[in-house]
Amino acid sequence: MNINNKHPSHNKKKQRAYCMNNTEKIQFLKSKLSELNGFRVTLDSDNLKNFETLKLEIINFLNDSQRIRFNQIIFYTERPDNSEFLGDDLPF
Amino acid sequence: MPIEPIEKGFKQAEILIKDILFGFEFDKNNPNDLKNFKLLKARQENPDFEAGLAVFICGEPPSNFPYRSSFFLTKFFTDLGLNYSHDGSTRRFWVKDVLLELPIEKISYIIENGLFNKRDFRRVAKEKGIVDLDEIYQKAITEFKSFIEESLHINTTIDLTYLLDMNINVELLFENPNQTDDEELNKLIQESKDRFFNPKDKYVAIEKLWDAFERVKTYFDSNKKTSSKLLVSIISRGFDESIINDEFAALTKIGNDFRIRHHETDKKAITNNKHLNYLFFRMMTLMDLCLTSINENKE
Repeated sequence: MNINNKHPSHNKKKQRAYCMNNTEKIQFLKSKLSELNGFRVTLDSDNLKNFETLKLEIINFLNDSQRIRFNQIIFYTERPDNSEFLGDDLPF
Repeated sequence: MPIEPIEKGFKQAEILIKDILFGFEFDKNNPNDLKNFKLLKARQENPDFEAGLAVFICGEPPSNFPYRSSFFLTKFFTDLGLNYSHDGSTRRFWVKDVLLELPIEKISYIIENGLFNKRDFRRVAKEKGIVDLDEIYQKAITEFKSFIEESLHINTTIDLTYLLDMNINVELLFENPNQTDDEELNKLIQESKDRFFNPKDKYVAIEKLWDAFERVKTYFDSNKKTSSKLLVSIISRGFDESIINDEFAALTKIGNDFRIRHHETDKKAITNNKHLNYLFFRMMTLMDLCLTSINENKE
């Protein structure tokens, strides 16, 4: 085992949060909060991938306890797609 | 499949992020901010913080807080200027969801001005015919304090090495595959490690390790003084050179004074296993530092 490889910075995404000073962390959080709010009403299946990427960026920034809290949040619900069959189209 | 955003979720995420921002931006000289920060630590550490607090606000038995029916829950929040009206769902789940939407400053306000408002304690004491109001109030305070303490330490983890009954430092020393360009040095260290596990060979293990120590002193130059000076300086980067210097001198003296490097009759033998172990690990730690620093310096 090479102990030199066990520095927390081994994960590049974590490294970013790890290396930030407080001012950068505040800026990062404010910018992610603003992006998150952008999805508040516009979130749909077309931009879901972007939303999940944003979630991942936030999660990678959080510590373990904050991450547990964030992962408990339900941001959207899936609606059954009724566009193909209307009541009148049913074959029975 | 079409998806629909849930406002409640976004609100909770917003609060979570704003709380973290508070943790960075609060005024450390402001007693009120400091108090909120401590509460925030408890909230952030305990994923069920709101659920626990909800039990107190609802006055669910066996808690020591006043029971609040649907009517009194709505009154509880509206009296505090928070526009929430109980929707008839399970009280503690509803309160938990409300709390998740509130920043730490508001949670603090609710605790101070709502949860511990004596008016509600008085009401319940009167209903139950309890004379000593202070007693139930104190019990509630104790219960809340213990909840905060538990929240702060809820994520205390156990060191796996303790469960596995191993000493991680020893494992690291023995598993560290540090190799230098000096084959002879590598061989001496490996032989020392191998022999150490055989109780009969411990003494030899120490002799080999001290040989390796003398060898590493000439790693950079055949002139031991020049080379070891450079080695000490490399090892000490970002630390304290005098400490490393002293350690080199002390271990050299031990090697010379005891029957490790020399076997004259005036040299003292080490007879106790515990001292052999002590010397082995003391030297092995220094050698590990030397080898790691040499390799880092190469990079």
